[in-house]
Amino acid sequence: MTDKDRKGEGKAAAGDDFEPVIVGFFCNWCTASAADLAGTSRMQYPPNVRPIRVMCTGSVDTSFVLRALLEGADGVLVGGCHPGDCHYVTGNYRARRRLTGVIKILEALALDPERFRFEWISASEGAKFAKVVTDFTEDIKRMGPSPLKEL
Amino acid sequence: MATERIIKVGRGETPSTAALAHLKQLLTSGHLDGLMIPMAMGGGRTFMHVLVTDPDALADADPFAPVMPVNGATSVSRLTKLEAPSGRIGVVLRPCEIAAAIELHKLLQVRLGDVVVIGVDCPGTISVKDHIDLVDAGKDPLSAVAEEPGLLREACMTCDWTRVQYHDMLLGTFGSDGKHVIVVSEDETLLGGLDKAPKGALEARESTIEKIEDIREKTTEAVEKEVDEHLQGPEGVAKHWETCIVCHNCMEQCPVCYCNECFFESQTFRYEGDKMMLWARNRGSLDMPTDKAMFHLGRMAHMVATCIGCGMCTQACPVGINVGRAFKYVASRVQPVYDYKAGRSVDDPLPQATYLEDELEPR
Ligand code: SF4
Ligand code: SF4
Ligand code: FES
Repeated sequence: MTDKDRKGEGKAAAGDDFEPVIVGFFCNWCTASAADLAGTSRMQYPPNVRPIRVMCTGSVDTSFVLRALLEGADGVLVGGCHPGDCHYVTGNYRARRRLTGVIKILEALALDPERFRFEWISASEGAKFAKVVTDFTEDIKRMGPSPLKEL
Repeated sequence: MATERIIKVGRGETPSTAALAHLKQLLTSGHLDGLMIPMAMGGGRTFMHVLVTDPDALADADPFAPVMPVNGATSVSRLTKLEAPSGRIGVVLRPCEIAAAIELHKLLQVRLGDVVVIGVDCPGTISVKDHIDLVDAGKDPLSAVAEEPGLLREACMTCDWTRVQYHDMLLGTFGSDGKHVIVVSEDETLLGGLDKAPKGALEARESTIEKIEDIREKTTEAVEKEVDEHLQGPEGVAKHWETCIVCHNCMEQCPVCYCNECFFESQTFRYEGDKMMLWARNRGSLDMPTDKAMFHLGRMAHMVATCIGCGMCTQACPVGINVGRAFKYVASRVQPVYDYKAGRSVDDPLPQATYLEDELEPR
């Protein structure tokens, strides 16, 4: 991405032409594969997500989510293995605890908690992936550009 | 079974000197090999914990000093983390210091079992700066607070720890009118020579605790209302930290921020000049030093589940930002999600170290 593209994204106003930037932290063993599956199955979903492959949601530190939001993302989506399916056994349960903390912080200080979403999406759930991304992108579009990046 | 005893405050004595005489006796008799206790510095301008082994070095000590420059749990961690000291070390701590020590114990930074925790009733403390200013102006800090309770730190006026929640020995002053100090312990060797506490004394302490709890709860509500009105949304948050110089002192003085290598001081936040130019162009300008909001919100995300509300962050801030107000407010909204109250008990598992299969969202 060039400087110019980034500038356009950062400054876009709410409205039809607002294309949100969504950072996705996707578990290698499930959601990242679901994204591939959605692609190879030619399912339609908006291209707003910038995916980052992680080895487990358990490796997503709370500060990663906040940093994405403070540095330009309009939304953050974390996708991991369903309960009982984590390849490191308890990474997703621990992530749920930790990341719930982020939501509560955002709620407590009225910092747009809806800009963060956490979903279980298994490798076979290409359709769920497409739906989650579509819904989330639409929600964020409605909310407009994030004021958190001005912080 | 805990036994309750009493130290009478004699003519010419204060609760401090009377309690100190008992502690000195424990050191002299060898029931304690060391005592970590607040000690007057600079002729009483401030008090700092000192590890004392010589009973004669206790002259300027005060277990009830109304000032807390450093949360004592930090020193207990220094004392016990690498290797437990041999012998029995008594550490005089206020409830918020005990709360921090409890969290640090669970974080494997303190070994509570290796020290004798001497908990004290705490009516609150004055900020170090106010304490020094009062003494320099020739005033007695204790009488100054009696006249003007608003001098107490906000953390103290909204303190959740009126009841000492953990101790090996308690020095209780609440409800005593300065006439005695109640001593409670399960360990007979710490009670040697003291008279049995009369029943009324314990009841008076109990009812005073309830009264103070009530006042502190009301003050907490008032402070929370302020936060509801002013510390909300991106503008509210930006305004709260407007004058921050990003010195990280609030983190340095936080007793539960124990990481040797703080993420927010790592190379992650050192950038090439062009990267900063890019951000400056995107926004039109870039605040320097960078990452102010990242530091405060990120630190919050890392430790607010273990924040015990001692307010050392506020006291440490060179530009007068009420950091603790924000952290305490958020902590009281985050911790209940895990059914957790940081500092309450060594038996409650750390929220980040455990989980339930059937809890929270998504399921
Ligand atoms: S926060 Fe509570 S325990 Fe700590 S110094 Fe203040 S009143 Fe005492
Ligand atoms: S101590 Fe005060 S100035 Fe320093 S980083 Fe913390 S809030 Fe900012
Ligand atoms: S391996 Fe997918 S969430 Fe842990």
